[in-house]
Amino acid sequence: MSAGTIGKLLKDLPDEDHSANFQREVPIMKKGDHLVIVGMGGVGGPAAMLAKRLMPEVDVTVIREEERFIVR
Amino acid sequence: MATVDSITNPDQMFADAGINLVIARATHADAEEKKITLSDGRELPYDKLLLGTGASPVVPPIEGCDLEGVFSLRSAPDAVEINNFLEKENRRKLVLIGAGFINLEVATLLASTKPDHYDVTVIELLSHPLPLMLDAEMAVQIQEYLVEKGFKMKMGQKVVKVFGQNGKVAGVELATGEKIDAEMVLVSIGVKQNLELAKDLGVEIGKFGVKVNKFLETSVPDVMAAGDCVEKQHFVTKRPVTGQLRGPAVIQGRLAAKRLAGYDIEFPGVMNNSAVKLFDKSIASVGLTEELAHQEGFETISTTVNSRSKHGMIPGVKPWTLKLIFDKESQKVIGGQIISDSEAPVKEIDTVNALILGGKTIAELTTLMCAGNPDCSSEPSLEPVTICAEQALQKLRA
Ligand SMILES: Cc1cc2nc3c(=O)[nH]c(=O)nc-3n(C[C@H](O)[C@H](O)[C@H](O)COP(=O)(O)OP(=O)(O)OC[C@H]3O[C@@H](n4cnc5c(N)ncnc54)[C@H](O)[C@@H]3O)c2cc1C
Repeated sequence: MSAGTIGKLLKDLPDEDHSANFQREVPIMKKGDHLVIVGMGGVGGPAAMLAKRLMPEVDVTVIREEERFIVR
Repeated sequence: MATVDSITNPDQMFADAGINLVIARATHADAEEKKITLSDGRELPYDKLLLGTGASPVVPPIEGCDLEGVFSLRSAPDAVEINNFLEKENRRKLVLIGAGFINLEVATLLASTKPDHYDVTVIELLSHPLPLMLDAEMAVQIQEYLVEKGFKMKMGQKVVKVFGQNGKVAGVELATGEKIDAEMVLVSIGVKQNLELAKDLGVEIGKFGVKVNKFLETSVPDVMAAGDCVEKQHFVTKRPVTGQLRGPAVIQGRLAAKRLAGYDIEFPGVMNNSAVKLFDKSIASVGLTEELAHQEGFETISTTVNSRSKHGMIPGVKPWTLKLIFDKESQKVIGGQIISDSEAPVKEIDTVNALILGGKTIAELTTLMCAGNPDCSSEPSLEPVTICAEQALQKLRA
């Protein structure tokens, strides 16, 4: 297979990229910082558990509206 | 049927992990003062905020959708309410508007729980059931199967009115003028993002929700967002999509946590990875359907192969079918669909997912080697990914 063919096969589909491009520094939360998560469905529960595991010194709060959290 | 308690996590899990849990509605968010106001009047300051506010069912602007007995389903209390409503007067006649996975799963679950009790009619605007997961020729197998199970499948039909009697639902009317009696109507035609707090904060919002970069950061500093409320990018087309499924929500939630802990990992985009079980049929899909690929301007090659769950001589062997869709120009695999009579093969869709993520081509797929054993896989000669790819090779030459 020629390099040209390989290059063609590896080409991204299609090359237009529509993602938002907000530039940010990598944020690192510090001891005592407050992380607030609104919602405790697919996103909120797993995010809170992992955030606390990776950053035990950060204060993590999850807010949810409903009585119970569904496993999803 | 499972109780709410059996499918919900005990809050103790969060308390044990040292997480503060607040049960209240967040009524306002202020990006300048960096605080959240709660329905009970409390205010919570934040250094970093993650919005995972999800989405709510779309109620179509159809007359009669506010009648008693018209439901949509999002939460556990919704499910309990629906069940109680059906049980209360031993209701039988169900009309489901929308043939996506939620409605079909609810209908099959109800029908399995009380065989021969319910009279089920499914109405779908598009030409076939599961239109976001399957192409027409695959979906027609499911349609015929559900008809065999006693469902009335009205595809390509539009509901123009829900009518009632004494404030309660009594039926629906189609654009053709046909009227269908109903004692309960379930509407699942899609969801809209919950964006109230995002709007308070002034974050940029796109056609499909909160705009985020590849690290899930919004246009407002220190505010991240993830899950159903966020506009995503399709991995294959790179275009904005809704991507409102469990996989993206959980992975984005955990990715946001990693980002806040200093990891530099990008979200790759979504591929509509979905699975559903309807009676004994397990169905899964990933990437673009062929119909969607055409709408997105791809010229495609597709192949469909029948396989089996075990070697032919093993008791309990069940058939399954794989369809793969390739982009003709790059020869990369861009989508896959599975219909299976047993549960295990359906997870082969994750292999297809990995192949799409890896940008694998038809030629590369012909050399894929899979783990095999008489009890848990087809014979190697019936391994459908390689066979689909070989057939695609032949189509390329034709
Ligand atoms: C019946 C049903 C079945 C489904 N089955 C599947 C499936 O089999 N596979 C699959 O991939 N996907 C499935 N989905 C979709 C999947 O559940 C969602 O994509 C996923 O839950 C999205 O996670 P999320 O965290 O973004 O939103 P959600 O899980 O909806 O969570 C949103 C959370 O935000 C909270 N919230 C919102 N606003 C506020 C506020 N102002 N104050 C406080 N709390 C707030 C809500 O209380 C909730 O806790 C299903 C959805 C439904 C409705």
